Amino acid sequence: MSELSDEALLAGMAVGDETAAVTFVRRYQRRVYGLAVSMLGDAQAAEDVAQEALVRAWRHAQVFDARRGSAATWVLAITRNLAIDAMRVRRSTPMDPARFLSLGSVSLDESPEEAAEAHDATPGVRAALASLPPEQRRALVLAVVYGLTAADVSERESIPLGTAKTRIRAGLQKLRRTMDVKVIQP
Amino acid sequence: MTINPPDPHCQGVQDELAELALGTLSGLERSVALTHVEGCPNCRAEVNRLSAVADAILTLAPEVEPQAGFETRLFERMGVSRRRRWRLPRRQVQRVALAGGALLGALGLGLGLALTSGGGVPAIDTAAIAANLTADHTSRGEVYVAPGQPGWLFMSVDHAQVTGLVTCRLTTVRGDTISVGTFWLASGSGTWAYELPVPADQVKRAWVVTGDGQVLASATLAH
Repeated sequence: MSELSDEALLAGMAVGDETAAVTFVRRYQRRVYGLAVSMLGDAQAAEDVAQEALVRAWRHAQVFDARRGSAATWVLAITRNLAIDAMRVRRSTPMDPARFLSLGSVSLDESPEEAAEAHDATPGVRAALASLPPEQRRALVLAVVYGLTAADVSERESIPLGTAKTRIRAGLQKLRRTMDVKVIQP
Repeated sequence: MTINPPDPHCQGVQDELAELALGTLSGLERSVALTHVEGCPNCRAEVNRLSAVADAILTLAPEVEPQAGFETRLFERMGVSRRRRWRLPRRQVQRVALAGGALLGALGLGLGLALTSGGGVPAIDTAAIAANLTADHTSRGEVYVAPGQPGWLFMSVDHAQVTGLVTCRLTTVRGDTISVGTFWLASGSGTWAYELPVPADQVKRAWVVTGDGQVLASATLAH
């Protein structure tokens, strides 16, 4: 069971296979919790979010569509949205983006070459993110990971709104070009 | 490849597509952008691509071990039945056996039995029993039997040269033979854990048996 693909596990979960669910949880709990704790910085809040994300994956596995992305991005996106909701409810200040980047695998000081050499499950993303100017990288992580609006980024980084919008947009578009993202249209 | 907006309407919302993809656009800007994107295949495709990029960034999140008891609480919430959850992935089992960590802690059972490295099977410094599974004097894995209410059995099989469903049988000190349950061997390997149907100190031998009755390996528990 542990060697089944993510897609097979989610297919099993969609029909209520508990063994598939247990395997999926054990495969992803560290990543889900890691994202939650790097966003929230609080172990208990992170556990609440991580548990809810995995419960939702279990209950809504039937809506997962492998053509639109991987299981990892699906469950992590669920986690991110829940963590953003939790931050809003708690009115907590988002963690410093450097925390996400350093806890993960991309340092703010890391060069594209260093990122490319590092051992990581997502080398393309690492290298692409590392290739951005540091200020663009920070703005992008604040928006993508922490769900900050351009106005929030502007305030937090003490930069004009237009600059914040440009950093987010240009950073995302550059990553898209670098990563050559392909998606199947719904 | 950058999409060049073919008309002025696209030009008007292009600055907002990234934030729309991130879900951080709000108010009138969001309403205007959404209205356009719904009717523009090019811009809709761009939003989908940017969303995929944003999702990919999330995969850089670090892996962090949750707090103790995370799984137990989670499985309660999920309503996953107790018996199912002890079928462990191979990776976790290897960690238990090789690192000599807390066996049942790693199983999520919370009994806190400690293992220390030593020989083929880690020594256990509590009342739990470990034994080698062997066939023809060759190691085929390990068995752990832990007392408690209920007691637990954990079995790891390697190099059994069989793929398929096998049965775990126990022989008690009274001579009774009990089939405890079945589990899957893939290319001769598999791991499994289950509640003991008898007190741990009553278990004398453990057997791994194929569907047609062939004994793949056995272990003698020395109490």
